[in-house]
Amino acid sequence: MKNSLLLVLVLLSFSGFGQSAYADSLIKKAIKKMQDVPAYECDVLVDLDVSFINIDQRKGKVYFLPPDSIRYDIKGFAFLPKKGYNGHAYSVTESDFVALYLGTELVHEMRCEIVKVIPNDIESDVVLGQFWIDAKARIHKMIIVTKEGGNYEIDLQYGSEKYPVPIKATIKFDVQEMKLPKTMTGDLEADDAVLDEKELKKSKKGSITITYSNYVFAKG
Amino acid sequence: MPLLEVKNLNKYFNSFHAVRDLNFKIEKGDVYGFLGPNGAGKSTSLRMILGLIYPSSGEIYFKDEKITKYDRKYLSQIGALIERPDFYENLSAYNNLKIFARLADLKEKEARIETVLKEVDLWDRRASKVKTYSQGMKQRLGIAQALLHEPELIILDEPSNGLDPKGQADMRELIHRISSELQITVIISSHILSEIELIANRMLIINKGQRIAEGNVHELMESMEMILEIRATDQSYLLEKLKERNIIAEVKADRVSVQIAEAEIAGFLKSMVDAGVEITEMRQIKTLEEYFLNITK
Amino acid sequence: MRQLIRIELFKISKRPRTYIGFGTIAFIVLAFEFAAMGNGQALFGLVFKNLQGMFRMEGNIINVNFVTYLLMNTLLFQVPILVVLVTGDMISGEASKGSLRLLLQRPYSRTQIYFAKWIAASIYTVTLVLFAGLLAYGLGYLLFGDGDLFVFRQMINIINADDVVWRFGFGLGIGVLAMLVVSSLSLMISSFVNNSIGPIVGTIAVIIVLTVLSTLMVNLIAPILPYLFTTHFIKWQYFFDSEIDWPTINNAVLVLIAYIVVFTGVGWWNFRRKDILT
Repeated sequence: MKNSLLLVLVLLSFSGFGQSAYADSLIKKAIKKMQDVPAYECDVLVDLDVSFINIDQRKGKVYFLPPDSIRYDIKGFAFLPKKGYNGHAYSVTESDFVALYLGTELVHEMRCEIVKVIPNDIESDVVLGQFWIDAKARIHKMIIVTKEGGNYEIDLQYGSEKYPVPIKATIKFDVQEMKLPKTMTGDLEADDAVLDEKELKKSKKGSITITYSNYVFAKG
Repeated sequence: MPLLEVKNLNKYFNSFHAVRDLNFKIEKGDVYGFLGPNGAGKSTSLRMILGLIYPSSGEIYFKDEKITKYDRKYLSQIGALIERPDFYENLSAYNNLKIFARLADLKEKEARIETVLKEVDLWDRRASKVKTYSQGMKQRLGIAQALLHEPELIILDEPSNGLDPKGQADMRELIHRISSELQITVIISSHILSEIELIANRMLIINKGQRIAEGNVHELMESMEMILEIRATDQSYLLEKLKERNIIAEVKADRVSVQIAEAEIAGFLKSMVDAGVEITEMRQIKTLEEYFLNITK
Repeated sequence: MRQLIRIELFKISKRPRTYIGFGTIAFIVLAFEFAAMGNGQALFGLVFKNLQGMFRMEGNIINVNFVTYLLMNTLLFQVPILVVLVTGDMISGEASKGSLRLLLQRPYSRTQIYFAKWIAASIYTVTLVLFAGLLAYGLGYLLFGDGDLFVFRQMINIINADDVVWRFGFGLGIGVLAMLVVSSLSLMISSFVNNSIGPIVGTIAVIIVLTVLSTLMVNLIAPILPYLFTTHFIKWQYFFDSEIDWPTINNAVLVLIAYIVVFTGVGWWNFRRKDILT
């Protein structure tokens, strides 16, 4: 009986170890695939959804240089994400980490495996990340929790490109509502009542959606 | 037909009755003097003629047509210089008159400006800025702007104010020329009797808003009785003799005043001498001048 | 009448204080825009510190539209004074000098004279406002180039560069109407007094009092706020909303026009019946 229990425990630990290793390989494969994307340029449409900002859709181009350099060429002013989706992914996995397998879920009608990644570096800004990866090692969704930068939820939809580049990326993030005094804004009709500090600091969600098209990849 | 006629003109400033039942007529060709002390109502009356002040009651007729409250067309035939003339100091006399000529919508501006400037003896100084002008020159320029549109009547309110004796003489000469050579009817107001006496042919004396006397200047001056002020060694004896002859006398300190027609002065003096009155000093004053001196003190 | 207007405009052009208005505006615009050149990004950084934490911002923020918008807010306070400096003096100043009676001795009706002055005052006012707008925009375009406009009105509104100019045009229109109220008010006061400084000080005092009342006692006087002309001075900003509130703007235009009519009417009525004693 004792031997059976021990065997079960050893088998379980092997299977746990096996699951962690599997998760590790899943995420590393997805990241590697991302890193293998060559330089490209494509057309983009940028839509911002933040409660206190009103801005029309922006059109332009984006130029990508590996590993994570992104240059935008947008007509007019644009609010853009501080990091690209791949930059967010790399931030989680750039140092040693522990990967945990959490099962599967349907995302964008595709069966995705869920991997939770916990960086070992206690100094790292990233607390943890969670990735939904499909059979082609493409990340469909990621949730990243950081200490200083708030939480990010990134949704990636894919088309038929040969590389794992999305046709649509939605980055949701925490925003703090801004209230500017009317002497600064010139909006003398604004209600300049006592500003509620707690209310101001309450986190709200905003999002940027970038729609990609007409990818042109560098040859060779 | 008189050029200008004023009937029962009244003006109240709140409860102050500034002009009372004023009546006068001005004929074409007159140099009409408006004589009265400061505050008599001269300027107020002239401003009512010019539509600057609205009468409380009464009527004003210009060339037999009644001037209504908002009527302005008749002003194209009247020129005026009321109080100090105001010009653009940084512009020349010529350019100042150009502005007035435009205001009057004159057809041949340059020719007319030249004519009036020559008329007032300022043609040689036409290019000088008005701020370099003396008071007399500014007054003359003021008259030039009043003459610009060839008016039938020109109103001058105290034009000699602030001028030295030479300036006053020049002004009188100019007014005389305006009347005699240019055939323009003139109204001139003043508080100086001698000035009116020298220039005007007719005059109106006004005090406290009321007409005191009106008519031909020389007739007015002459028709009044003379006042004799007599000083005698024995004043009481003089008074006794005057009483015997039913002559009313007014005692003033060391002299006695009597009113006698000019033609009777010689006879009166002889009778006093014959009666033994020793006259040590005698002065004769026209009643009009005396009156005016009293009211302008 | 045209002659009268020309002469009034000539008189305005000959007065040194006319050029104080244009000179002051030119100075403010130049100083502001050169300061924006030097410190604009730093200033912007202060304002957008929060946003820069959340986003990467691409594009020319300190551009002609942003600078012009800020300038219009600034000039809102100076231009009324510069208008009144000239228009407040147009009757009372002449009355005190004595040139008013010279004018009134001419065969023009008082109505013609008053409206000639009103038209000349309005031309000066419109010219001053347009000068301010065009100088701000013209110089801003040369120094900063074009770009989307950031407007802070209850929220951050980013207006596309090609959607801005017409808004400035309409905004300037409201600005012109507002300043015409000021010039009409000053001309009205000018018809009541015989000294030069009274209408200038009086008009500015009225504007200051109404503005302070509107700001400090907004609850107490809320019912009458829409009827105060100073309330509508800043309605030009409504043209920079994403959804333009046309009913509010139309109401503002009607109120401002009504004030112009009332002030001009009262001034004319008084000028027509008053005795000229100076």
